[in-house]
Amino acid sequence: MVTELLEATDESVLVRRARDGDMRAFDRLVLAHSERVFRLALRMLNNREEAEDIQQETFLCAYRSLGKFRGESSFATWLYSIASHQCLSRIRWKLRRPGTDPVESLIEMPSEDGDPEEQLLASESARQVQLCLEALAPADRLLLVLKFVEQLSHEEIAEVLHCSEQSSRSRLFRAKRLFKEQYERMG
Amino acid sequence: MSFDDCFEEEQINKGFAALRGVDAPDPRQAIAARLQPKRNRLIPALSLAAAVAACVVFALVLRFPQPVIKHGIASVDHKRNAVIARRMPKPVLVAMVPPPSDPQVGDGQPSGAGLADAPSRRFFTLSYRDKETSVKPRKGDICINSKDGAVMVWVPAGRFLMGSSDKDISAFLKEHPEKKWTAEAFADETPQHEVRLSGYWIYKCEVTVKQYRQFCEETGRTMPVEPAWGWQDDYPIMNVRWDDAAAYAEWAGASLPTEAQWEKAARGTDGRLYPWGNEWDASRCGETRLGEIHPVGSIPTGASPYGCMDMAGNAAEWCSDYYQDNYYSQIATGSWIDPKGPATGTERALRGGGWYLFYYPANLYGRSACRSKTDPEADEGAGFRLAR
Repeated sequence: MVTELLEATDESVLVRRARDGDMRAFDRLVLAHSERVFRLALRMLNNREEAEDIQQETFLCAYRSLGKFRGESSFATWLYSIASHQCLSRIRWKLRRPGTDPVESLIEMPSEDGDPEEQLLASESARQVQLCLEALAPADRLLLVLKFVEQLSHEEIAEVLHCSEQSSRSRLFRAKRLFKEQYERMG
Repeated sequence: MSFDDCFEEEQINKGFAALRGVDAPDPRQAIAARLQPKRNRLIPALSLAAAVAACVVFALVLRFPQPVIKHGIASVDHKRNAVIARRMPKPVLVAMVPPPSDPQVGDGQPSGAGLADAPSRRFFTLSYRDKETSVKPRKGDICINSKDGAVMVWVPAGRFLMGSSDKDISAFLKEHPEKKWTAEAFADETPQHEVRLSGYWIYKCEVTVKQYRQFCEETGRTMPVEPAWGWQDDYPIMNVRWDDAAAYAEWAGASLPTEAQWEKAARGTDGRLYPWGNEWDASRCGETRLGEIHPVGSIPTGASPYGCMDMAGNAAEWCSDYYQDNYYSQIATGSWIDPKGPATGTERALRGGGWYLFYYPANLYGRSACRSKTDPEADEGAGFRLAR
């Protein structure tokens, strides 16, 4: 608890310093959060190049908007909020010009040591989950990624999506049902 | 763990767990690089802008009465409420015409007469035409919409080639084999066909944040959703719904361009691929990175044959037409005179490379013939310019 408190204080200090133009402080914030932003983008778009772009763009947006961050939510959920918006926007733009979507990259799996058979099974499950996610509407996909990949609480999801906790719960319930239907169809 | 936190199916849970592992890049260097040059560029740009502004203020306030037009001849058009600049090597219009009732313009009196005796005639000549004289604009003429101060350029009547030829599409596909696209993705741009348009004025630049704010203040409308970089006066307005763009057009006494008007203004009459020619050059449409747009009209090298700016970058732009993917093939057999698009539809046409599109090969949307579409209620990144 004490460590968490210290970390929280550290982060708010870093944010304040970054807002005052301290690039080193901003660098530390980037380092601390870059993986989660990238992961969200990668799972939403399933394209590494685009995910890298969204990752950079999210931090650039954050840098430009630091003055608007009032610390009412955590810095992480604020970043998730920016990244989510970037991902949804990009997906919407893709729909404007059907037939020219960037080629999908292979589903990225971490290289881990361990039982190769286990790894293969996990890889296959991940592939199937990613495919099902892609078949869902972007808003439903986002909810599931926030909940089951990023493991945010309902309270945090509500902060990211600017909705009530109740709304987050009911939307997630619906998204799960749609996901399961899709999963069974792809069987 | 509650039901909410997992699925009943273990395989699904395992799949999600596996998706948590990624090999994330460290973006710090790239971010620093993207922030740094901007700062470096900004200082000389600001210094230059300040110097130019000082010169203009000096010229206007200390040397010349208004209106002043350098290196050229202008005529006052009361009907259009505009000054039209003529025979200028490089048209620069620095005066805006006040409403007709304004005594500065007068009524039948040569308001610019005094200017003819100005001390340095080499700087300008202002000719005056009686209000009865009809002014026929020519290519290169510009005028100003007195409602919002926007500079408009004249696109003369005539024919031009609209859409993409099979050769254009094959060449583009060859350039980007890694995308594995087929010609079908470009079918809405074919067949290329000849279109005849009456002459029209079109905004040299996209409508700016400042202009749109004025519209909102006068009409009680609200500004669109603010982009991440905030509202900056000389940047293009963005995130505008089609209805709002059309309302602005009505307020400004103009209209959204048709797709044909937009395309002719962008590529001229010689069938070129991009506003500046046939070779792609990302620097001519500004930044090629997501989220980095620029003040309207700030990249003169990207100008179209008629002087229109930012037609391959900055905001994507609404057109008045409904979008229909087979529209060209439907009417390509007939005579194309001032086509206004399909009579009905559910989606509206968007033109021009928007800043959001550069993660594609940038020249996909930068091509003047490229068509895109969206729900008129969707506003993401959409701006506009007007025609009359």
